Amino acid sequence: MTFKKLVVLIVAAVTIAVFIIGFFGIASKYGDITTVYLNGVQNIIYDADFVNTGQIVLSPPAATEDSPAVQPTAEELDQIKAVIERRLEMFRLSDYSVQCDYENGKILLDLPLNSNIASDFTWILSTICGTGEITAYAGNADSVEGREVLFSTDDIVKINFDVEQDTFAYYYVFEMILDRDAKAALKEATTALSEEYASTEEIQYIMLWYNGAKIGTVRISDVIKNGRITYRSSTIEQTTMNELLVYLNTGTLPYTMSYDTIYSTAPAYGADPLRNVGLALACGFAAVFVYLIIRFRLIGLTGAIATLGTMGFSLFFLTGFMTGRGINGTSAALAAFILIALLCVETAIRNGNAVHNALAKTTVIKGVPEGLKATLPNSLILYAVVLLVGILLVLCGFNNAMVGLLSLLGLGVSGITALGTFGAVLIAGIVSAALFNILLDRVMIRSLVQSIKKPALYGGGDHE
Amino acid sequence: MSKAVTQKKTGGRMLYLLLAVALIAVALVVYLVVGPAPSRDNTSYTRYTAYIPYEFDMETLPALQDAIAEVAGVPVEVDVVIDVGNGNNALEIVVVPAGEIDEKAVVGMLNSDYTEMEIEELVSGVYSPAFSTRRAVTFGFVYLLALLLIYVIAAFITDGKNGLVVLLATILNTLLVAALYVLCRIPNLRTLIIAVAMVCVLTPYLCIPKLRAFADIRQRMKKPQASAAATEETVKNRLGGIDFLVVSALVCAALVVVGLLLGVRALSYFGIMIFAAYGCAVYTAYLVTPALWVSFNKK
Repeated sequence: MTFKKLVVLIVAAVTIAVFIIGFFGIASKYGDITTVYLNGVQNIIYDADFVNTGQIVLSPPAATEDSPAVQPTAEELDQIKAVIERRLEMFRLSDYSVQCDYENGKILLDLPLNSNIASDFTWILSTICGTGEITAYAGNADSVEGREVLFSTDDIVKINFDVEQDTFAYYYVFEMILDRDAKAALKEATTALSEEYASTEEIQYIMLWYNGAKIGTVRISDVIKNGRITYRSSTIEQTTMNELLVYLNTGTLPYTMSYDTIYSTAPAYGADPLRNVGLALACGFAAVFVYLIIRFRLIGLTGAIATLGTMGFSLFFLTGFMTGRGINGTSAALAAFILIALLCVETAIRNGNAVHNALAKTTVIKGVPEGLKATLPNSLILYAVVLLVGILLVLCGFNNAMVGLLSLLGLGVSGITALGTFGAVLIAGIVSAALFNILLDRVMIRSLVQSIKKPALYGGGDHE
Repeated sequence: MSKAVTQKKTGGRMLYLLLAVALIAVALVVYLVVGPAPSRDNTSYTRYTAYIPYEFDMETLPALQDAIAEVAGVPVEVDVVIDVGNGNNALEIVVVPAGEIDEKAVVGMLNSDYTEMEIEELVSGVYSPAFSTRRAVTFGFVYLLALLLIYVIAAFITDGKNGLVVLLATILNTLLVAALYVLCRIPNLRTLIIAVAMVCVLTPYLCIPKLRAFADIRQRMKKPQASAAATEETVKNRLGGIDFLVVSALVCAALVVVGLLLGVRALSYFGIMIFAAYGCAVYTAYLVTPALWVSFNKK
């Protein structure tokens, strides 16, 4: 065996190995315990189309001894739906839908039951269904009876959250910016409190209540004129802190909704979606590779092997980092994966056509490199375009400024992360395509040219 | 090439643009008259549920769906879902778009023909569409962002005029894909979103080399020494539309066939929409872009 043939075999073997490892991953099994070192396709965390969907029926308060059942109007239901959607956006759930049943005064919530939210499912549901009413009163006491509400959740127009740290502890800092009426009320109340402080020298407070309990106080020593009040705490529990953030950012429900029934429905891609989608794609790409080999012979064969390498490398990335993200995140990642695979096939087609044209005029030794050379600039430019698109999509999708802009416009923020997922897989895919479908493909072809000189085997004419 | 021949060719190419516009217009009319294919994404629907025993044979589900549809007199989607709260199986009957069925007749039929189901009554609810306006606006915003991105990249690689050609091709392509979505009556909005995302990558990918080839040809035509063969070579080396279409057709056919064989409709819809994205991208890049290029680069 010549050295050139050995090069072809080694490159082809490495490329196919990358695909196999990317597809199956690396794991060891000891008894019932499986340790995964590198994720394979089976480790993808799927979203809505691939996992069971939980259909949750949310109902308003039922009749009690003291009060009749609440019958929400259509407007109230629309308001509840809007608040629940905003709350779901805060959780950045992979996919969801919220629908109103106006006749029965209920809400139907669809959530994908993937492993990302399974552990927090009950907490997420209870948070979504809570009223989210946070109220502030002047003073510091164990009861709010007889006290006037200074401001509440719906009076807060913006919330700035930060975590500060000193030698002893972490502090969660909530800066609440109030609307005009609440700002005036706060100014009036703090004027009275600061005067009290000046005359008695006793520290004065504004207390915050949530869920029928006092969660903390804000010390007042001066008049607050700008409508900004800051609550700082190191003792608040993390779940409460998360709930506060959700509620302060999304507003209140008129009453606590209860979730009576949770139905689990089968995934859109069948009971075994991985097998179904995998089977379809495997059949499709097998047919494509056969077509490439019949049409372009050795150029098609090396193109197919290189494409397998790109697919394997993209799968490393997809299964390792890009699953269970954003709305339809996995669908977006898979779409980018298929797109990359087809772009690689397009590169192979372009190479095949160029070599075919070159071989019409000259020999294999001259024609094949000439054909490949002719396609190189375009391939590089196109890959650069896709890389640029991928980078910009990632910048948009995973950028807090973009999320902030969308929130400011009142738009859904979780959808934007699908762009990031799509872009990230595009970047990984196109970088690996540059390695396999441009560099290694050419290494294989150039090595083959040295030992196999029949033009027909490269899809060419009669020049020997 | 004589001026008359060039004009004839340009006119011929304009025909492809007109065909695309006509298809979009037909789809728009269909959309306005008939509306989109009813699905839970865009239409209100009625949902009936009833608990059934664990022993229900899932193999009988297709026959059950036909039987219920016959009694109800409208198409229905029937599925078996699990109540996570108590672990019971529940029969789910969905009527899209929302409409009432004769519950008593359906329960009567189930109790006579499917006695093992032991259904006493159906619990109903009429739900609004799943895809909210808020999410549609978000999607529109993101799409506009993508168009801006495409223009900037295309203009950077080619020039301002050709950037505009790529931008127009992408918009046309999106409309074509949406038209096919409407005309094929596909009731799955996610597949349209994925197809549009693919269009936004594929159109510049296919159009930019084409436009660069045109620029090269025009450059060569200016030089007397440039031969027709060189021009032909430039074009040949950069085009492979038919092969690309065949390849995408193979992948998509596999998705559709496997979807049909396994009875997974979503997979077939996915295949159709991916093919629509690729087909439209090739159509636009190879048949419509030349006409646009000529219009934008008249001297």
